[in-house]
Amino acid sequence: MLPNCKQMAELASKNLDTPLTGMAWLKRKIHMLMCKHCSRYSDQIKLSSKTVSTLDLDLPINEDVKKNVEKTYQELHCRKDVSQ
Amino acid sequence: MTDITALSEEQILEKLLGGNEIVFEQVFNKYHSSMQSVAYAIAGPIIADEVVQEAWVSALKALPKFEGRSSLKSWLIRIVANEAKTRRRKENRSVSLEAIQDSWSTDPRFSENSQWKNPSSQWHGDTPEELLSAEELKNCIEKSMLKLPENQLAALRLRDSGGLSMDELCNILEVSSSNVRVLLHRARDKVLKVIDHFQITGEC
Ligand SMILES: [Zn+2]
Repeated sequence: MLPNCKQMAELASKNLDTPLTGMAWLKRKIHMLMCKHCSRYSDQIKLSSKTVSTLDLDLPINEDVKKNVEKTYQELHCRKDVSQ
Repeated sequence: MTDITALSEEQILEKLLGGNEIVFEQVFNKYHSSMQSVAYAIAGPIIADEVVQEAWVSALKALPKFEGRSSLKSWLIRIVANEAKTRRRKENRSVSLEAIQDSWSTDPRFSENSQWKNPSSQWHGDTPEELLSAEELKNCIEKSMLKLPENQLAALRLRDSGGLSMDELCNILEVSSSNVRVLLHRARDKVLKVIDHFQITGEC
């Protein structure tokens, strides 16, 4: 039995993380050859995942956090023997 | 002035260890928001800032030991995720990351026999750059990500942004591997729907 379209949608995402092999791979391949919707969905889920990886959420930077972290950086990594 | 976008990770690291504050500020600005969104999703909005600050401090201490086996970004994401997990446990946060709120079983895009009824449209563009040339879509996606259930957002950030392994996701989110897969699929599917809607209507 081939997977149905709804199962195919989940497989499209699964395949990005752990590529299917053997019969599971073949069944998915056959379904995609016959079904342009699933073939398109599979490309689109991959593209969505790639797009997300390029995006950063625009959360506001807490200025206190930034100051504290910079202070820690100076203490740990900026040599004090260098004349300023 | 040094611009880190022109430097390799090795060069960045060298400058960081050499005490280059200008480079550090750029590194901070570049990775802070990814780290923040991981902390936000795993430990909750109230202590997210604290968690990120702790993670930066841990990272700065461990910096001389960074071996470049993963990217700097993955390394930072891993540190903040583990810090967030520890804090989540301490605070005994009642919201379970295992819970999956799901409307997948009744998704109107599929017919009763699980065939496509309303498939997605043909998109204009097949790279992130092409899609995101519409600045508005970028905002739409970001907004929709912030509306994701926190476990989905966490999974998405750890995997697609941080590049962490599936085993690491199970470990950090404390969910089974099949549930990690469900979380990732639902989150990516949500993004796909936002893009598809934008392609059709030009709106969020
Ligand atoms: Zn199909």
